[in-house]
Amino acid sequence: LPAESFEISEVAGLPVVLAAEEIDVANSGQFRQALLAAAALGPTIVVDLSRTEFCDSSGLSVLVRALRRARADGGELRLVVSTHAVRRIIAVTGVGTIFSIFPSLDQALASQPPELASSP
Amino acid sequence: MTCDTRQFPARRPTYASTIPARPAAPGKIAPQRKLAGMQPRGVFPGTGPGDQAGGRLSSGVASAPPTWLHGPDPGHVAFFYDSQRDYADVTGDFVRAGLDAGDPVMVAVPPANAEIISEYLGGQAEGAAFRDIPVFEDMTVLGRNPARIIAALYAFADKHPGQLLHYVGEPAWSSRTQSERAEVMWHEQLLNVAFDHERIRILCPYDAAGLEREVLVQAEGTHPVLMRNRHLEHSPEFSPHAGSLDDAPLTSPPAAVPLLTYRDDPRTAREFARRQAQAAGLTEPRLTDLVIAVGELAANTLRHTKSDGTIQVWADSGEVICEVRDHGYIRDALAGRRCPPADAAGGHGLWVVHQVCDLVEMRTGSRGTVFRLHMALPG
Repeated sequence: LPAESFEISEVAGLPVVLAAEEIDVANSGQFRQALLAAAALGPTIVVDLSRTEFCDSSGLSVLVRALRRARADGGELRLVVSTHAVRRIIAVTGVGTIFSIFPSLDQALASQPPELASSP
Repeated sequence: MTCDTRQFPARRPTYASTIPARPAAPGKIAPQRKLAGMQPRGVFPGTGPGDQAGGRLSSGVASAPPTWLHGPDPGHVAFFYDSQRDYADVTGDFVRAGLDAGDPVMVAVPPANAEIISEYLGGQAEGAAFRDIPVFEDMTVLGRNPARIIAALYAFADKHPGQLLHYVGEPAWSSRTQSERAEVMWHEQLLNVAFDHERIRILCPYDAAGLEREVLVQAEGTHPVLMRNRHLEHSPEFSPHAGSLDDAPLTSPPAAVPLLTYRDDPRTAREFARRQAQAAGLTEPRLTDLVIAVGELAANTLRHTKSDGTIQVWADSGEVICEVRDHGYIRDALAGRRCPPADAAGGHGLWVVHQVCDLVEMRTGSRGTVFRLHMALPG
């Protein structure tokens, strides 16, 4: 897969966006388009950032907007985060508190929706 | 929570117009409390439980001057201390007055001085009525980059809506570099406009014996009220222009430092910064911090200007310095000093830069903007 692009697929019934190796103001528009396309497949979207070595605040803005849309549609946004740079910017901006974050794609896919997970 | 969007140049601080020249002695205070030789206790009155119900602001009460003292409202005070005893009595009393009133109190000072305040409060604790302890922050960490201090205060204010805040902040110490000292004084000036006057009481201890004379003089210019020998007075030197970074021009980068010009691809600026900083000795995880900061600045160049930016990196006495220049102009003097809400879809750029760097120098004007990012080298 080209490292600078965003790939959309469907895994275990969920739309998955595999993010580019670097996300910044130069390609955040493509990122937004990919998330919009994924949203057409289902309200809950998995964003796989595991190969992403850099993401700036414009990339985070795209994610925040996508989260708002997903919630409005009754879904959620699940992030797969495993690199230091992405963890760092998520921590510094405080957006880690609003996303569901997983260390691997498998765990993100296996996760229950929040309302099911919290019921006894 | 909303971002403060006050524009640069900062409007004249409210203090200048709201401090009564010499408050009249009020009727309700016992006259003997005004006598010389009074107890050191109660240097900062006006915040006792009787003055404010539950620490909530009722209109006009919180901004009332300390009526029994012959002096102005202690809104933003530079306190010049000359001994540990002096430090303990005045800061301790300020903190205790806030706690007794049930108000939130934050203390951001170097660790050794936090110890002095803790001991004072501990000594007062037996039989004392205070309900809580202050929030302590290690100023050598929080204020390593002075631009992070106001951000922490905004966060503290957001946790205590509608309450009068009491803040002890000691951002200057003798080992600060020249660049840091300039940023400290600009921070002190911004404190005058960052908050509404009624919202916060600020006491800034300055070590009169240990600090450079230049720092003490600048503190008189950036604080509307001064305190020496337990006496509060208007600062004759106070000016809303004191501490301006226009008076602290940046030195030129060393000769023959490589320069990269970037425009449409912030990645080239990031890669250059990583390569040069690594060669200068910077290691992970700080290398990634620098790359994150440069990425935000280069993205701003692309978003907000129509021309090129340049970047240079060099090492200088224990730190790596990265200079990013472009033709943008940043109007908001408080830009990057307030954390955008977690769900804000933007506005994080300069905030991120300030959080990940040890010091950020910014000079902005009609000819463009220069950022100098400082990262301490390991060891």
